[in-house]
Amino acid sequence: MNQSKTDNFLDDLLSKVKFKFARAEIRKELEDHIEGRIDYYMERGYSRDEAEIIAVDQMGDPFQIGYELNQQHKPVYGWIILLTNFIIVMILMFYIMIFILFIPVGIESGLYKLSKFDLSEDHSVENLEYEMDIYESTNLDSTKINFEKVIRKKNGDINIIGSLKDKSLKHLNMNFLRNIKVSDSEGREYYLRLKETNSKYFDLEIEDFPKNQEEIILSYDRFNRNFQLIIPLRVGESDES
Amino acid sequence: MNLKKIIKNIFIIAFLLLLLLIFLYFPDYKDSFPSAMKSFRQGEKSGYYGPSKVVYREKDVEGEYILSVYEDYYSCAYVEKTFKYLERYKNSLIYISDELDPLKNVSFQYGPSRYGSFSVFGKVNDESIAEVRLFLKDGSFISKKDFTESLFLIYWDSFSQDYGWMDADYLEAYDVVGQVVFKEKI
Repeated sequence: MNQSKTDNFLDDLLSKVKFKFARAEIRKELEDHIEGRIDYYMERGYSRDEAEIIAVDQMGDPFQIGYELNQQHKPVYGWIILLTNFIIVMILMFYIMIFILFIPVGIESGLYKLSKFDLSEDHSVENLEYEMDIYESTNLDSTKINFEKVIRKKNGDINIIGSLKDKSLKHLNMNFLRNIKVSDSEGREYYLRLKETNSKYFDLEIEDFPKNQEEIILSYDRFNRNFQLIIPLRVGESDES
Repeated sequence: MNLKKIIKNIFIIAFLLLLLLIFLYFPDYKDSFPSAMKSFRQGEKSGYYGPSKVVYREKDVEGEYILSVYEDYYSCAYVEKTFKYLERYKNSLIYISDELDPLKNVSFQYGPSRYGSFSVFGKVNDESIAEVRLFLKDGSFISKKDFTESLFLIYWDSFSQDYGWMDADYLEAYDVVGQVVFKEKI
């Protein structure tokens, strides 16, 4: 196989460079350099072969240059660079993967925080007697408690949907809602269940509340804090939503 | 040249790892508190309780126990650290003992304080009581002789090969001469 003078020169030079992963880069760099010199001499009237001979000769001793380049491209350094490059690529790929995986989760969790309960899922239409917006609110320390909706069910249960707002608390703890006492206007008490909560909204369920009662009384009295709210109900209406 | 490249790569890796740490720990850091007491106070506030008078604090490896009194209520909180080496604490849950029976010589409550650790928190209502001992099912006991505002706290790593998580057996209280004045199964 006929090799050019440049190839022979580079082969001799690279034979002295021990770190083989650096050879391609060095070859490319020197080829470009020699090619530039060849162009220079060709512009001054030399043939390509003559220009190549002059350009390569001007480079000097390939073994000496190879020896010097080997000093610069020590295998230890070379391996460290390769390894660190590999680590960087791996970390970046990991980031891209996490980014792709977490976008849907982030969107979903953001939407969940913004949403109220899906009432159509929690309270079936077949069992619904009526649904009524209410605008009752009270304060417990710095927390504002809003009671926003009453859902009356055919089986006698009542659900009260509401929300809490408190900018001074990092975490809203809804457990205190379990201590709300529920009674009717005649003083009878009813069992209240904290059915569901998310970071802001709650759903209180009162079982078997009589249909002839016109109001529901919610009262809280614990640790020197108290409130009482009377929530009006509809009597004798049905199938309204 | 090569050395410069290596240094540059190391800086890039350090930066990327720092980003990863921030990504992993920043939410926890943001949601935590700089001191056990701040976390405790915030826990009280979210429980719509207090502010109570702190009567006893005791640190263990992963956090701090805080006993406090608010009017007729007694509370025991375990404030857990968020990070092992950073002074940051999780949002604390406070167990408020409005069920401590003042008619019993010793009234107490028990439960897990953190993963792998149980605690008994109670009040000594009989002034003659000088010592309270919690006996574990393996026969060993933990003694408490100092009561702050009549309150006491006993905690222990609760997992044992033979008895599982709940390895407490009974609580005994003694007067100054060592006579048993109270005993109750846990």
